[in-house]
Amino acid sequence: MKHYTDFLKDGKFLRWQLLDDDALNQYWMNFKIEHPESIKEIEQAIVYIKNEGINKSNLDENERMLLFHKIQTTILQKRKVTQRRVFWYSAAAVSLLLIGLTLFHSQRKEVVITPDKELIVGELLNSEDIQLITNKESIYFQNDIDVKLDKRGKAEILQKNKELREIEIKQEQLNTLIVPYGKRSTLTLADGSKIWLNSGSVLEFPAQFDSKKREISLTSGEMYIEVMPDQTKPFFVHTSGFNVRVYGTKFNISNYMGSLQSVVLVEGSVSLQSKGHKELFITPSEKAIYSGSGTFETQQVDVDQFISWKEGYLSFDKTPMNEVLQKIGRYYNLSFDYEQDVNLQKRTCSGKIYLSDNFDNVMTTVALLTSTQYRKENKNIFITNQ
Amino acid sequence: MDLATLYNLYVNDLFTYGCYLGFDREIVKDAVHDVFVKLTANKGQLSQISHIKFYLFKSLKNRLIDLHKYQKDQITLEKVDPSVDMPFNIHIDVESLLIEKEDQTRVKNTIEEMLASLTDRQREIVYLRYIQEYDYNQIAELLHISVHGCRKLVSAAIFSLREKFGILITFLTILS
Repeated sequence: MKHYTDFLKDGKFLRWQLLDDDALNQYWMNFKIEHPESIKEIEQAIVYIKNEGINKSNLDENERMLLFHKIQTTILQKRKVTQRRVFWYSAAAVSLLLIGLTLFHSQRKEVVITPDKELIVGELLNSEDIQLITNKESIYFQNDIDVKLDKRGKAEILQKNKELREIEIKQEQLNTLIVPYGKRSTLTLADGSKIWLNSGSVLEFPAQFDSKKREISLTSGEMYIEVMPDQTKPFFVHTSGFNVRVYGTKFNISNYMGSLQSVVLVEGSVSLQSKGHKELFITPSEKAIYSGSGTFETQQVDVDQFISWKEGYLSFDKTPMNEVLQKIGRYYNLSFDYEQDVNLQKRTCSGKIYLSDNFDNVMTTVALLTSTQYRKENKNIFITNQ
Repeated sequence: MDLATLYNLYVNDLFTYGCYLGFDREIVKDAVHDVFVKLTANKGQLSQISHIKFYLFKSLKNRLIDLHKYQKDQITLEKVDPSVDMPFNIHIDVESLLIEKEDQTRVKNTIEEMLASLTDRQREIVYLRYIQEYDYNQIAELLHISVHGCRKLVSAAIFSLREKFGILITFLTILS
């Protein structure tokens, strides 16, 4: 029987695909009647050229995320000019606009291919700058930064290996900090609350909070936050899908596109609010996973596994390889590629991996913990079974 | 549908289309940005647009034609006809295909040779017709030509592929 790749090698098939005419349609219709067993393979060949072969987008995840963010920012700024008062309202609208992002991966058409060998290929992507957008300017940073806001609208920015920099940020203006894959940052808000932002995150925050409440938005990515207690001013974190109301506390919140959104509480108390549903309170060591349709599922977890990234290590306990690679991929800005039925991705990993600057050490540890082999050639990484 | 959903559904196709039209990726990104911003500016009309994807393709193409005219104006004073002189180059990528490297090259070369025997506009039609599955009316609108002209271009393309690849390749098929 012909394999779908055989059809792709066949010029008559390709010609039929690119520009069909009556004669070709007739020929392939007869072919299907005579070889009904090939119909599936023909379909797969068609899916392959349509989705991969001649229509492969080379817009990577980071670019897609940043471009969407830019579009949102422009739209927001346009609205601000006309309606300054509905400022927060639009900010909330923006978080709503993001709901669709989490659905993205499941919607992408995938080609199923039977693997000939067990192989996972990774590629180191080009690094992008961290970006801080205020009402006045956009500032770029090559290295991780620590930003500290004070009550008078001053921001101190400390960049690794660079001198301390000070900028003015106007009160109550909404600012954006974009941390691309491969980078991390911390941010101390005007009230003293401290945020650790993981790779691939976009956070919106005002330089000063108003007198009634404190609000920020994690439009994508992951953060750990230690909120300064203040009974008079409740603290809210908005995400696409749900809001977190904080009662003085420490917790981690994950809002990556393509992954389930979740909140892990470390200390104190928070409640989760989604449209049309009752407020849900969670207790320390509890993880709430958002279903996407307004409800949450809770479970007890080992908190360390979810917040260790901010201390510079990842902790795993029988975690599947694909999740491990996803986390490492975000941290070092790598994209991993493998077919769904590669068994390697189901291997589990237990132990700690230190996220050192030496990427080779990290991958060697991963290989050791998962009994796989790791090889690096220029920007490519190959993981194979032993 | 909200903006994020639309964006996720179509951004890859729009970006690829813009790149195939010969623009730099940063320029294409800017154009895609403008298209989505424009879409929300006309939000009242959004529900009235029946084919949102086609609408997006059309505004992207128009935006790029403007940019193209602007770029050309910098160099030459001649009148530019965007329906004629914009390139269209389809990128072939078969690296994810699990076959021998040699066979990959063969597949890639065959498709490339076929496309190379067509004109830029014919290649654009192949892309719009085969990949995006637009009908003649829509393609004609995107190319700023008449429906009749569009059909003629397709017939000519089919004819030249048959001439150049028909006999030889049927022969090879029989052999294998």
